[in-house]
Amino acid sequence: MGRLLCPALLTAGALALAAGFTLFAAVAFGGSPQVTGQDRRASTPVRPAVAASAGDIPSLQTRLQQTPGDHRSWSRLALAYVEEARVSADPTYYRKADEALARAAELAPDDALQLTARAALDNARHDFAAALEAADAAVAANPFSSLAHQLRSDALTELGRYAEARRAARQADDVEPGPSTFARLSYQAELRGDLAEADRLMRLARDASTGSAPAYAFAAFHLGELARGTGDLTAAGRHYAAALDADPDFSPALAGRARLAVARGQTAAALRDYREVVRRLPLPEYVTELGELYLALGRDAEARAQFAVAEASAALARANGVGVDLEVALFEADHGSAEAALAAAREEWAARRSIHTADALGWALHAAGRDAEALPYVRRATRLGTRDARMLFHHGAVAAALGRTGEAREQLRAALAVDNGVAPLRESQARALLAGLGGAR
Amino acid sequence: MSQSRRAPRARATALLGVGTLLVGGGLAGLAPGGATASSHREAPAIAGQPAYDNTDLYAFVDPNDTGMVNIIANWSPFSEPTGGPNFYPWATDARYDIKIDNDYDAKPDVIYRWKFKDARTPKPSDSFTGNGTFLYNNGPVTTLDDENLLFRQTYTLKRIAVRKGKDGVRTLLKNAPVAPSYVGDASMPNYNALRDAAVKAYQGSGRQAFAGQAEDPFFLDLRVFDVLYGGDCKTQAGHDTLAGFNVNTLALKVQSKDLVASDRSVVGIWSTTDRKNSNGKFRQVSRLGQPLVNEVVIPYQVKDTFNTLKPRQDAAALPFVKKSELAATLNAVCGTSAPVNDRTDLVQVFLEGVKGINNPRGKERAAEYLRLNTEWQQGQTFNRLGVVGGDANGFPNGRRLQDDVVDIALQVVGGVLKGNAAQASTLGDGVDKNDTAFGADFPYVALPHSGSITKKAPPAQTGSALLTGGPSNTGGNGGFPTGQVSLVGLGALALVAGAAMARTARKNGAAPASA
Repeated sequence: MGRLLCPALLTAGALALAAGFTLFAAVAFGGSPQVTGQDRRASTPVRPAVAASAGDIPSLQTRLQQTPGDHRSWSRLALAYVEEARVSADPTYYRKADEALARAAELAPDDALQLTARAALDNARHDFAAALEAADAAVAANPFSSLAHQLRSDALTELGRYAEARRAARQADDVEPGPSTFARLSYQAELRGDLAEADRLMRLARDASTGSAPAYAFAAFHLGELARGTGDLTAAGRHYAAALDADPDFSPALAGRARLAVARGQTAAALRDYREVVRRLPLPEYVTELGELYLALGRDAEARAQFAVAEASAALARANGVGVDLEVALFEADHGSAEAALAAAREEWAARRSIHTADALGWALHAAGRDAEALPYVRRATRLGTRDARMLFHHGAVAAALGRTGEAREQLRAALAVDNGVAPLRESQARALLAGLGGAR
Repeated sequence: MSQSRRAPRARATALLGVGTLLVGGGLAGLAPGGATASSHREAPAIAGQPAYDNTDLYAFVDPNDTGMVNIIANWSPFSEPTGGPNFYPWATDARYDIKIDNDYDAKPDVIYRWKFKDARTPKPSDSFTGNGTFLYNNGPVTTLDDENLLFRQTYTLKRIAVRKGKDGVRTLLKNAPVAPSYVGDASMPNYNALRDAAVKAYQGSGRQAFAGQAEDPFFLDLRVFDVLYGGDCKTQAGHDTLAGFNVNTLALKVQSKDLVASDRSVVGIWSTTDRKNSNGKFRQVSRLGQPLVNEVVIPYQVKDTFNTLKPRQDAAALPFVKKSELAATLNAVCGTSAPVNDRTDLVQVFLEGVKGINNPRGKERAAEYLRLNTEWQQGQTFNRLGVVGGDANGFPNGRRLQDDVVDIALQVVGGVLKGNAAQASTLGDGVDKNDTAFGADFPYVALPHSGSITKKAPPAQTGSALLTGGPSNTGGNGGFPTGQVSLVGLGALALVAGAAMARTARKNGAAPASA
């Protein structure tokens, strides 16, 4: 990632500046934001239930001016900044969170809330090993904190320790059930490919969120994503509409609607929604999706402009301490240098062995033409049965390159069944590969 | 582009955001987001789900009919009167319990259980706002079943006699109406009539039940607890932090004989909230017996644990009570000489009951709940300090709405019952009574604040200090800027700073583009 950095950064800076003005109501599930679209749960649902909405920032600041020794308020302020970073897509809030936490840690190094806030920040910055360490300490200090168990589950998930992650989510659900534990368990089910259970749990989360528009929007959006993945476009449209009705500022639902428009071939509507999304949240995930849509439409110059913004946005995240190697690996493999992709993917694989890092490394190896080495990784990425279009496609493409016709056909067909508008470019590639295998639909 | 050039822009963005937030917060009013109090937003794990959050419990012999007992339990702390569009519903995936132990084994013998149902147009699964409308009501609401009330709740109330083998369950009320959130005077021109209609008699003999919104009857100045966070004991107090807020109330008026076992007039009372988990199993997520236990007795670190415990498990808390952390802090910060160790007096007040009043046998199993002697204590003169003030019908013998539990708790911790009366009796938060008068009869809690009334600005500081015997404070408002003014001021400042930095950033940002 280097070619267009300066002008691109300028764009991202302006966009981030705009994002600073646009203050969304805090999304109640809180979050460890995945800065790009490495996994579709753009924010693994986390609820910092601890006074952690952006709206709490002013009262906490006032409180701390008066009583700077109140370490709990410092920890809450840190959580609120993490939340604000997530809803505004402005990673500079992570620095503020870090500063607030330093104050809390100075006053109360072993306090459970301080450790919990640390885990939330580390998760948000994608330092999942550190997040796990903090969450372990938080759980030890307060075994009845649902949030600590939830953050521990998030870290374990991203580290690829799925059985433990699920157990931790269940512990959180036993200690204090609520929308955030339902949503997390839904994600665990989704990772296992159990979409019916994922749907049931996300409905629980939605119906328990009638008191909070952003929480309701979050759950409704994910119900839309689940429905779209199973090809039920009508239901998906209903869920996205419900999400936007609850919270018109909830951009992920707008992106969902854009994907739905792509799946239905309504290009103009898709472009309109995507442009609005990236205007509000210039996150690499959305910017790359829009760029790839332009590519699919043959509008290469516009695509390149979007990719430049994606690079800048990633650079901005990195400058604020957010780890983006995984996202960079995937982006470079598709739109940049295979060498850079491989370097980033290896870096990330060394740090954590999740299905998503396996996918990135496999895909980077494929981009470098090393398909035989790629195969075990792309297989590992699909081993849980996750119905993720990108990972299924990557597995299929690698298998196709190696002449493993049956395996390739199975994976590519599965990818096409669940994609439904995420990546039109990938869809046409999958169809072409299938045709080459003699198995086009 | 170098790091140094990127940095100012990043800072400008952040500052702009904060400026907007501060201005917004200042205009929206004082939200006590960062505050903690008697189980108001106390346990971190339940801060985000107020409908499940127990705040306060009261139990007292009815002053008008001493054969009866009133039990009042509150949820949904800090309900802002202008809290639309959804206001403050009861949770429908929860059970709200009031539990009674009448044989001193710290296990429930009688449970009163509320479960709520929504009548909502449309259902939550259809849409959040409902057919494009944000309205709670659609025109004036004059009765509880008024068509204009778009969101209604009803409840079923059961009394469960816990027995070995099979419990005895009796349904006391079915589909009883909940008094709605007080949206405003235009929507609800006669809220009092709605309140009255929501008071339901059951089983005769004066028994009544109520569920609905009420003014938060708890009164205190939260800032007295700042001493725990390095505040000094000259802390200015005297302003009721909870003035202007509502809660959701469950109230019961029962015959004393409904609660007690044959020959034992003292009962233990506590409230719990259970919530269904993802598998439909109920989990206890909140518990409340005595007030201020989390502030005065239980260290913050174990609050979540405490919320999930049963009173039977409370003996584990004995060491925390016997060695008083708060007393040590008071001594260190304020120079008091409150006894720290061997606090059997605190154990009596908070865990075992006071001998001769609500500890009938002299030695009881330690359990944190309200202990109420259901027999009216004759010859007492009302005193807001209850037993400490010589009035045996008040806290910690149960708890009345008027009992000043903060002053009582501070004075008890200060050692008023343990040879330090002269000094301890000066402790207090400067708030001696509720900001709103209580009702003359059941359910006694005051009507909720109306959503159409603009909240009053906090009154000027009265100059009462945590330790009235401490050095006097002559510094005007004691270093506490009034919230509204300072919020707006600071917000505007941050905005100006943010805008200035944004301009600088744009200038700086222009350089590499032209380079």
